[in-house]
Amino acid sequence: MEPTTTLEATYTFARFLSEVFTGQNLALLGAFLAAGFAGIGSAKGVGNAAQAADGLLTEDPDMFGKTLLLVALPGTQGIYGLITAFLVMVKIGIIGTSVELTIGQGGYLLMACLPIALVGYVSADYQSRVAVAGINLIGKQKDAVGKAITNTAMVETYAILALLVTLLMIVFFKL
Amino acid sequence: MAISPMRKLTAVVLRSDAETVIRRLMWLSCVEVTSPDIESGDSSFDSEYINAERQTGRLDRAIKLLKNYIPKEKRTGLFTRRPYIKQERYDADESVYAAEYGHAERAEEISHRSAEIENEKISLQGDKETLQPWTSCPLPLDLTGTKETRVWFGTLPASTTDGSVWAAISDVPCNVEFISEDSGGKYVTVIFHISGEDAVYAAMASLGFVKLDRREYKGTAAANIARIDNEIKKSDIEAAALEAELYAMAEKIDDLRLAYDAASAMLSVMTAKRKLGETRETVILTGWVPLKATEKVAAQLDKLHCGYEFGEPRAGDEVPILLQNRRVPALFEPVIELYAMPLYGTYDPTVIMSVFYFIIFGLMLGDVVYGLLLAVGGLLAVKLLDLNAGIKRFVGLFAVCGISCIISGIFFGSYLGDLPVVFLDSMLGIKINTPALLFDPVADPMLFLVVSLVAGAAHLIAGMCVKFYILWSSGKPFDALFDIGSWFVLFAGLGILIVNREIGQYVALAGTALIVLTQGRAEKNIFMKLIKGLGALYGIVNYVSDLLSYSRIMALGLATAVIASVVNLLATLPGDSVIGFILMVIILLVGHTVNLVINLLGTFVHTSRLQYIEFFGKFYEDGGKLFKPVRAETKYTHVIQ
Repeated sequence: MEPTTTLEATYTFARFLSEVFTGQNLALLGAFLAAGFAGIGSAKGVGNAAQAADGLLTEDPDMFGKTLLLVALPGTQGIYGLITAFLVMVKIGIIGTSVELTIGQGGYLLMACLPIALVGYVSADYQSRVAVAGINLIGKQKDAVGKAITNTAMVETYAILALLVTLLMIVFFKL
Repeated sequence: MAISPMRKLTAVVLRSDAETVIRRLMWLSCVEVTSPDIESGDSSFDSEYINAERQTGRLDRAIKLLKNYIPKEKRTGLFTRRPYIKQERYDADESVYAAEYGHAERAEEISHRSAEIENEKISLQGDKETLQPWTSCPLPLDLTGTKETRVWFGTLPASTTDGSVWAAISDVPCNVEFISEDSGGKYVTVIFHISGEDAVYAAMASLGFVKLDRREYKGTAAANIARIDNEIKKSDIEAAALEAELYAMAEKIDDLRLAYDAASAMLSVMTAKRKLGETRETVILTGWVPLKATEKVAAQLDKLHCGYEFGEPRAGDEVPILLQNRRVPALFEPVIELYAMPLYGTYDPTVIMSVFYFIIFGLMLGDVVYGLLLAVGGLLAVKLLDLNAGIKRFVGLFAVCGISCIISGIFFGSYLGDLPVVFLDSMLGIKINTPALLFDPVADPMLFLVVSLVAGAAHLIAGMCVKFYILWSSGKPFDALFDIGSWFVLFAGLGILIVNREIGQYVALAGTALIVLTQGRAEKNIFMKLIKGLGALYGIVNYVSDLLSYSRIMALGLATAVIASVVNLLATLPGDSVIGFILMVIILLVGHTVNLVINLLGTFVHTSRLQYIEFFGKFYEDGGKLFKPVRAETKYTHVIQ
């Protein structure tokens, strides 16, 4: 291969990279990670909890109201991811007035999205296990709804803390 | 204001009066019947109980079955109000409801018979499908042959051709007749002389011939199908008659519903009756009565000439818990019931908890319009809908908390989020600041975090104050001063530190010293005392983590505000045309409804959690059992006493 073409190829590739990895796109990647991973976690979580609830409902159809909260709880991480994604979209002007971002700024927003993306995904999964256990618990003891919900909410604490970190990082982001 | 004091009721009642006594007490709804301490085997009232349970169950199933047959004007909907019925109707002798019991029994029979008919029909349809291809066959299905011949009915694979059949049977003496064909194969009859049976069998087997099982049938296929059609028709007629009977029965659904409620009242009586202690001529009723209700109960028992006494609870008694609060704090009792009831004789935290529940709920869901929806919606729901008691209590709780949301919405300038700002800017081009009385949390989240933590600190200190009060009033003033007071000195010092470094420093140090010196006082060894004291100082980590837990107020508050502002942004994007305006209204309606529902869930769960873990953790002694008096749980009617 001629040296000039290697150089040209490298140059083309570099240009490709610089066009793909703009500040805007890095920030969007962050938004995707937040909404995507927290959402996947919640989908798994709500799915597990809802299956357990349906199992209980085959025995006792009147328990729907009591299981509803437990089924809904692992769904909140997805919402936190959504909030994050929306905030990022507003900041970078996908929604509202358009702005230009440097790669550094885009990278900052990407990083800011990571706490809720990771913690949201993992906590929704673990939370759903507690929710499933809680549903089994109220299947045996109808009065234990409060305890089951409280235990499930314990796991959520860490998703909220991660959301807090993410929100603060995005809100204090200066262009 | 407190946990209601309880009295232990012991009453001796003539056997023949037992049911009447329990029934009267049931209408008072203030006696929880317990099993007496004496040893007892099976209750002689078991069979009555089982009978009541069976009747209730049967009526319940009948009502559920008839649900789809009820005429339109009698269907119950969201706005239907349950009828008010006089108490005597529930006390009436069972024979009054004989007709309804009969209906319920008949409904059950009909339900079984309908299922049978359905199954018969399916099996008939199956037969019909099997016979359909043979309609044109003139031979009766039960014909196996004559003295010298045999007849087979059966199918050949659909791929079989005339040629392949002729080839296979060319040197076998038999007659193969094609009757019909469909995707399932070709239907043929085979007639042959008995002497050639083996050869025919081999030839037909090579073609993939499957014999038809004809044992059940007599006569030709066409005749059989006619018979089956006739039977199906008969089944349909019977099913229609049964259905008509159900429709007729459903006309009297109101009577059945009343009968159900009367039966379930009877079941309540029987459940209590089973717990009675027994002698030959009398029964012994033991139970718990709130102090306030003892007079009422005594009056009733006097009327029935029973011997009774009210005793103080003794150590080791499992006294049921009834919380007594004024109207507004009582709305917050469900929050405590969801967690666990306090132990008898301990502190009822409802009032102080309700204050913080109110404030924290508002901070997490602070919006004027959302608050109005909760408060007004809740009020309307209670007024207009005939909600059952359990739901009503939660609706009331949310309605009160809605007021808190309104207040906090005014302070932080949230009216459907930042709708006024966004709307005026995008539609009219007017720029205004957030109409906040204090500040806008989205613009200044750190300040909002401070507000959250201050609310949290107040909550935690209130919890410690309660513990202080409990210790002090239970005659342990030193425990109160050392275990709680020393921390207060430290906290005060840390607080003053912000304003005045020097004084704060000394106060904080004094608090620390107090903790180290007093927390090991249970130990005998001087070194152990010191180590224990230093260890207690480590407890500050718990306080810090408790406090940081309140940052969730800010996170959830911001979540509400951010989603609302995103909805507003999306809603105002289409611009100021007619279509744009319609779109805006739709997006606003849908978006804010979703936001309210999602955040109501989060707010309810996390406000409760802050009470359970952070607040109750400081002082609460749980383990009590909720007071469950004998009462008539009516489902379809209200009782007028």
